[in-house]
Amino acid sequence: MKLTELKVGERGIVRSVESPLGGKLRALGLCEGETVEMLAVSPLKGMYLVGAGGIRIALRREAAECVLL
Amino acid sequence: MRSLVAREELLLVGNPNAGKSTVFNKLTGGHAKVGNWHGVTVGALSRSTSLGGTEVTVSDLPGIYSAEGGLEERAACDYIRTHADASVIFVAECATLPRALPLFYKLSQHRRCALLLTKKRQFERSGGFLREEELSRTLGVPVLLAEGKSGKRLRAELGALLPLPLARVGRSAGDCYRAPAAKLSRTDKLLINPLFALPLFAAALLFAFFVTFAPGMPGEVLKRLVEGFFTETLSAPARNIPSPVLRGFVADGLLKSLGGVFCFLPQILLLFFFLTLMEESGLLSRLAMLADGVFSRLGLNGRAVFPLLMGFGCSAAAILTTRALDDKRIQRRVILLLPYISCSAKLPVYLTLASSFFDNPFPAVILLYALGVGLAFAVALFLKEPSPPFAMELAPLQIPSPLFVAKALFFQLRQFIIKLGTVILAFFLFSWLLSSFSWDFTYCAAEKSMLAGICGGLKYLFAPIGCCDWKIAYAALSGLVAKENVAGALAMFYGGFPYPAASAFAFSVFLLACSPCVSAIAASARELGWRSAIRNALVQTASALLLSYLVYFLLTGGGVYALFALPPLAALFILGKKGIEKIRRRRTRFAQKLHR
Repeated sequence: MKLTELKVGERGIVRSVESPLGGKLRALGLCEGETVEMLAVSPLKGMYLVGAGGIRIALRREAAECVLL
Repeated sequence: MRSLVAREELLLVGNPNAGKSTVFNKLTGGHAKVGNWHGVTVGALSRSTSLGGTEVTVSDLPGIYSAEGGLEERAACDYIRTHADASVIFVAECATLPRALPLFYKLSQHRRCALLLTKKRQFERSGGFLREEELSRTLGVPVLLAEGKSGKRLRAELGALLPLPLARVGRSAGDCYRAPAAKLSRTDKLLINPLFALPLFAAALLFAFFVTFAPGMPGEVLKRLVEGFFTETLSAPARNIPSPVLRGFVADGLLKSLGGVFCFLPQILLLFFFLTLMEESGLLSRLAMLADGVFSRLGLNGRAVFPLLMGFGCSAAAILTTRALDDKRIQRRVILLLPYISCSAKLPVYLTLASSFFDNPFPAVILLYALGVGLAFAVALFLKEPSPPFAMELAPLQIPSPLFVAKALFFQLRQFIIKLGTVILAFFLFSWLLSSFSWDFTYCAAEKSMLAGICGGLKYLFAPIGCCDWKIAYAALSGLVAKENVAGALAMFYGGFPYPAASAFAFSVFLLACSPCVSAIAASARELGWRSAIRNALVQTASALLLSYLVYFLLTGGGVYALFALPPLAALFILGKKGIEKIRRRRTRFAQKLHR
């Protein structure tokens, strides 16, 4: 499933990051094998806020759709 | 026999917002800009100090997430590569250590290094756990804590470790580390909810402007006090100077010009105070996340919030912070928008012009600021390109340290006084000489002076806004050196603004939209090249003139005719946008052909 399909409070384990931002996302902490938790979704689903290993990362929908769990 | 002093080079490396610049300031006594934002440091900053008897050059580098990152990250990695003999002090936040370790492992290969951990109190408060000694054994490098230590103590501890050992850094922190929970606090949940947070941010900005500009508020009260000091306390003895030349120089020139600029210092500092609070508290990070929705529709991303807000302080500094934007095209567009964001240097000018007509200049000043933001958005729409994918880390929420805020304000005060004492004073002396002496160096009235001759031709540019006056032209030109000079020049010649309100507003619009000062042009040239910077400055000035003509036309009864002008203006906007898109497509095709 995609990261965007997680509901707020739900967790998942990152399977792959297929995005032009892949290097940046991995460097931020969204690595394969990392447990992520959906913390918040903006009302228009423009931005997704996830927690990964104590770090909070905000990413746009297009980037979040490329993170597979 | 001369004693040999050992020399070392230390590079402070780490993720953005880890605390490298704070450590740099502690080790060297420097004044690197720090803030609770990812991307504050742009460019390497080096300074020498002594650590445990060793002469050391410490370099503060921009934050790196990875070597394949944005402009500043690649520049930082290049710097590390070219300083192969330097030791690395990897600065990491306790909360983000697992993310930082792979980078530390990569950068520390075959290098002398140590790990410096920051923000441990915050880490433990949010449920994290760490044992430094065990971590040092696990990772195979010395581990130090930076928090709660004075600069002297940190220098002593680091000095005792020099020279640092060659690294055999482990990849994982093992059992001596436990990450805190990533849960959002109640405050954070409110601050990322747009229904609550956006009105809150708007109210906070309005409050900041109100306290700074409104009558009876601290900003305005302090301004009157400073003004009174120059116009009454200092001017009275100056009027008794016997020599007319010296009296003219001191009473009518120096005190009026410098006073006309210096009196705005309290308001400038108040504005910086509020900006610093927003940045340091982590609110700016949340605003960037909330603003991304709107900014993405303008072809930008939420990180553009920081340089745009910095633009309210100083355009040149704001242009330099655009390096933290990952995308070069977005950086270019934000640099084009920044001149429309009214910097603190324009504030004296707006207040001088508005105060000539209104007892309460606050609404007029707010209108000008809002107009500037509107113009910036219009230009962003005009230049819009599809916005690339975007992600950012959210800075932690924290209560700003009073000491940090005080230091930041003191730094701004120092910069302002240095600017006043050098650029502005030098420009004033130059302009007073030119405006007080004729071509044969006789002391004369301003109308017969050298300055009147030089600016005589330029006055026709301002004829369409009802002020065909070489002094107005000169005041506008003086803004190229420093925007505060416009207020100083108007104070020197008139003490206010002698033309009707419509002309004053049109002139304000010109100053709002025209080329920024030479410092900002130079900063822009550093990022985009001189050709682009000068071309942008000329285009902005020309369009600012046209805009001021339009505003004057509308204000002097041309409003009805403007309705007829709207369709052709809209058509011009659309055609211009299509023209720019066509040029971009041709450039892309050309670039693709080159790469085949």
